[in-house]
Amino acid sequence: MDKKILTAAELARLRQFISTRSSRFAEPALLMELTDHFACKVEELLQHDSRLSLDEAMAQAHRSFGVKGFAPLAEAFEKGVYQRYKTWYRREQKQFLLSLHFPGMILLGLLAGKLFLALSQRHLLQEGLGLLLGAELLYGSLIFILRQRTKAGGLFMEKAHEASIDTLFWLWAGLGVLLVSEFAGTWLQACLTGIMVALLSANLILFARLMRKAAADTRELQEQMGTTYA
Amino acid sequence: METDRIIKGSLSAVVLQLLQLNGRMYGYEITKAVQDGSRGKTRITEAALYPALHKLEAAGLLDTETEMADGRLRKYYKLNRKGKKESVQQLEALQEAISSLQKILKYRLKNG
Repeated sequence: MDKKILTAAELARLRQFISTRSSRFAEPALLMELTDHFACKVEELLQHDSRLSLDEAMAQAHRSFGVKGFAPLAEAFEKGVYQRYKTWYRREQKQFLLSLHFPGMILLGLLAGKLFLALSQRHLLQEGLGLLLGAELLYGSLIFILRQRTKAGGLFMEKAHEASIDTLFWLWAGLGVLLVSEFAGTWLQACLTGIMVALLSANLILFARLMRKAAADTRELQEQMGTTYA
Repeated sequence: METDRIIKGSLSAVVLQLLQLNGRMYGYEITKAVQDGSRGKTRITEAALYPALHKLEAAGLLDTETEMADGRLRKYYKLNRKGKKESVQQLEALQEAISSLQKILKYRLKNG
């Protein structure tokens, strides 16, 4: 007997069946994997019993997923995406230390410290770590803009955000340094300014890279889906 | 059902070994392989398989390829170099566990 293969119209009904169960399942990457697995099951059922209608086969196949239906698969998928970006981000952090960016960041930190000393010697910095405050504001605004711009970018972007949550930690760390350094001497303030400026710049570069990767992954998937289901 | 639970505990090793033997496979194919390989005695549910697959993928042991098959996109999983090493280690550990279990099940106290 010939293998039963669902037609494009039947596959569209399957996709509709899946995505109407929860908006969570409509995420393109998840929908793609769910549709194929579900379609394999439906095809097998129709092959065994040719009297079954597509609706009956879909209901039967859905029941075989268990009481929670597609939810455990969605959960596993989302967790997997998060973990993948987290692993990628950590690997990038390690590679950053071995790249040419690292001496560049040290140089930037040294320059920031030197600038701080020069400004404070000329009494141009009235409010302690004004330079760091400026860097904090710039970092915070850029992170905010990047996060806002990519907010509506889908699951990959969302999980990449979650995986890079320590970019916000460094913002708070910088504010903490600002508060504490009121009580520190000029040299210590210069060192803290240099270290924090270097750390914030490094984080900004890593965060931008992660967002670029998530955007590229999303684009690639959309292209695949577009050419298949156009 | 009991067999299913025992197999589920070693699911990562099973999946890695299946991929080692068959090159690349997709989700449904893996569930069928487990079912057919055990002559219908064991079934793995999707709720168990996909978390295991995604965990292995996130751990950097699997690579994926997406291509058209039967009019739809299909995601294939395959072992990468790290995954191949891990597969050998997990299979050895599994075989060792089975052999220990067999010894334990046959063990009798000398004065018993």
